[in-house]
Amino acid sequence: MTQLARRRQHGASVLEFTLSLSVLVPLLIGTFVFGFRLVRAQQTDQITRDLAHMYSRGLSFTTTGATTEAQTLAGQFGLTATGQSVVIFSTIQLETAAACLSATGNSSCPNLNKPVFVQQVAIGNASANGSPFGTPTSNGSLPATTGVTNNYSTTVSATAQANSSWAVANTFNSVLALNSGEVTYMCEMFNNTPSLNVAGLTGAPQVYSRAIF
Amino acid sequence: MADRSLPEVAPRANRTTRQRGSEPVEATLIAIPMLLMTFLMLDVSMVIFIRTTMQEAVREGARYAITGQNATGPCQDDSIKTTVKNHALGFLHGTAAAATVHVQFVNPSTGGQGTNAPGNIVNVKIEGYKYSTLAPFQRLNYPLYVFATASDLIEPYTGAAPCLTNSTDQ
Repeated sequence: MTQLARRRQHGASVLEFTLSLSVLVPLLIGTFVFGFRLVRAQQTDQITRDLAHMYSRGLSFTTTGATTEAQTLAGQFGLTATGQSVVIFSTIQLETAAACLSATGNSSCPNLNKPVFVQQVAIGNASANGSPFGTPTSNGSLPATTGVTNNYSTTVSATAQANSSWAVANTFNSVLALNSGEVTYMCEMFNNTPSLNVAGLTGAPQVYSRAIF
Repeated sequence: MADRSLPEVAPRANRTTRQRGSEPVEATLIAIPMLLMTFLMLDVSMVIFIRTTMQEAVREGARYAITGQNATGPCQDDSIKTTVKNHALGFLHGTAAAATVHVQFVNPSTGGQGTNAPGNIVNVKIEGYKYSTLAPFQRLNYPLYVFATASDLIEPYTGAAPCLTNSTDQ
């Protein structure tokens, strides 16, 4: 091989190296981002499961004590009004004819046999994310809970459960089909991860987890 | 044109002999980052594995705690810690490692100190379990600590609440 030929090959190897880097570097970044999100998803799964279990057993998350407990359990995720995360608790039941009758005086109402919110509580940055099933208020945002910081809540009246379209838990039936009279307790958690959205290439910078009891 | 005036390269045998000397250098240059990457992957995987194990251990501890049992004693918090250790695949058998297990009881209304009576919250925690890396990353003076927490509401149980060795473990 002549020196001229070797010099030509030097040029080719730089080009090959650049081409391979264009594949390998995004692959490496993607692996790190996927790994970090996987760990966070595992942590948020654990948090939502514990919180949902306590919520389903009657713990009211509209108190300072329970809010503090949720913040302790979520630890590093920052459940504050300006933090990166929010935990949303929802009580959902199927609207029955008896409930319609009790609320409106008629056994048939607009929300009959639909899953409706009874209560929703959010701890953390409630303005950043809402439940994909809906926020049961007429203006679509939860009011702050009196006397409890970082806490937002609403209790839906029987009349609103029967009549109001915003009280319906949209698409909840596709997740869990409730039978007449059944009540379910759900905890959802959003963790926003803008730091893991490398150059806008790695998809929605968010981890979502849900537990239903 | 200038290239044509360059002399032909040395015969193959000489070239091979010259290249032989650069092989150890290339191998060393490649091996250092390769070994670093390999041990980094091993250590990161081990941390994730230990964290998952610890999370499962505290979960089992919390599940045990809410039943009000005191099987191994002497008091309930000791029994809870034993349950956590038994589910930690041996990672918590050392004295220092065992000391990272904490059992806290929280009043759900105030968020302050609670008891092990039904209706209170129990937090079972592993705080600051130190992982010693396989590779000498510790020379960077950046030790890896593992944390895990599980919480639950204490269920109603019959009889008096079991004793606690450390009722204010925070």
